[in-house]
Amino acid sequence: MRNADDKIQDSDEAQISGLLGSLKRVEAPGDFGFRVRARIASARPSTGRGSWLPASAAVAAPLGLVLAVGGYFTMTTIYSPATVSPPAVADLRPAELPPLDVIDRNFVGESAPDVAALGPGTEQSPMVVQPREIDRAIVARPSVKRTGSHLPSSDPGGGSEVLASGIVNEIPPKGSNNGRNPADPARDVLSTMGADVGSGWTLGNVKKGSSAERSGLKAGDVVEAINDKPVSDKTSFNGKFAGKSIRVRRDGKTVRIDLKP
Amino acid sequence: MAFDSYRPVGTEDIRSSMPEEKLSDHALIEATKSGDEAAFAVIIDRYRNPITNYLYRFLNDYEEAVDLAQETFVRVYFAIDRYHTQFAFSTYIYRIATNLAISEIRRRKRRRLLSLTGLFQSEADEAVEFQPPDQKPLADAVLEDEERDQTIARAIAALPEKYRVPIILRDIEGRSYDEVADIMGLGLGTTKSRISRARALLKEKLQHYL
Repeated sequence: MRNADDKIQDSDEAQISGLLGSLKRVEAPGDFGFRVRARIASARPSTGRGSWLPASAAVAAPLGLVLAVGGYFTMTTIYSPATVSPPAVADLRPAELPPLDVIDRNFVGESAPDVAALGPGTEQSPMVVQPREIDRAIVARPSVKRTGSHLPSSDPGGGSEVLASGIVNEIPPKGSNNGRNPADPARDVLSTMGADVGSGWTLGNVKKGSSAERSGLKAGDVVEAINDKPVSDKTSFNGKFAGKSIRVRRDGKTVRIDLKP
Repeated sequence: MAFDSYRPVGTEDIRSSMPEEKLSDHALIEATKSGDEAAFAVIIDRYRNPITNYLYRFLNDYEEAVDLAQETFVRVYFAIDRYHTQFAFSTYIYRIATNLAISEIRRRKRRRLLSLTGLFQSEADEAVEFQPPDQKPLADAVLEDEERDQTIARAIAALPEKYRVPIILRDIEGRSYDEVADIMGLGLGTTKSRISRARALLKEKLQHYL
């Protein structure tokens, strides 16, 4: 009985199996392989097989970025303006202004380093500076007395001290030289001593109590030389003036006057 | 680099040395592991129709079946280094296809639960494949075959997963009981029992065609 049931059951299962097996089979579309390859190509990870180029690029890209940033900061550190920029002040001098007289390197170099740094001078080729820088040198030296030891030994006498104290204390601020050429140190020096200089180097008003009056300068004196150096609009003294003497023409005669405080 | 044209230096073109039909699946897999993309193309040609048909009978949706079949080969390609040759490659690829199909079925169920319209939609309605109307008059025999196939397909798609997988593999794809058991990861006895139960369920629905 049981065997008969099993045969019936087996027969039914065989019929179902045959029915399912008779189903029409479907096939993949013609572009199936192409689509699979496209999916693989799009889903291929950068470290997948046969993809050495993306893998190396994935390493090289951030590495290159780090090197570029690091190199930039390194270069900017090495070649920063504080270390490589030249003393551009000397190069920036106005080309149209001709150089003036030679200055005393010993004097300026110690007491006015900013001026000394301006010129490319050497021992053989003394430094040449512009008149404007000479003014600055004088203004920037409130302690000319202390630097008097740098004066040449051929400058004895109290003229230098007189000038030092007088000039420094009485020197006007910039722009207050009555509209004269600011690059005119001889006029400025005489003016600070209390004597106005008119046209033709003729002294005008001499202030009472000023060092000019105490030295004996008078209105109408025509200044011929200071420290035996003929004056001109471009005369530069720059410390050499240091107030030793002034030669003026008075009443047709040449008078040498030692400057006093 | 193009998939077809990729040839690692030093890799022998396996197709040029041997006819494709004589290459075993394992040989093709080993060649693919070594970088021979052409060997994998042979695998695709060899298994694309069986896998597509299997998934079509499982899902009763041709477009979805083709999509999952393609995804099956993509998964095989990227996991080919983890494939061990102690199993038949057919077992391996059918298992991947089965897992994808089951995931798709479950995703459909979740989507149906979240969809308000799905509350009023039966599984049988969803499983019906869209067929554009054919204006050409059909012979009665052809019409009957089409209707029978659709009825069988709906009956199979209505089976629970645990019965659907083994009976498709056994009765439609013609796999052995042992291989079906390996694909499902079940014992041989359990597999035979499920197949028998699936046939019984189908017999009730397809009595008219027996």
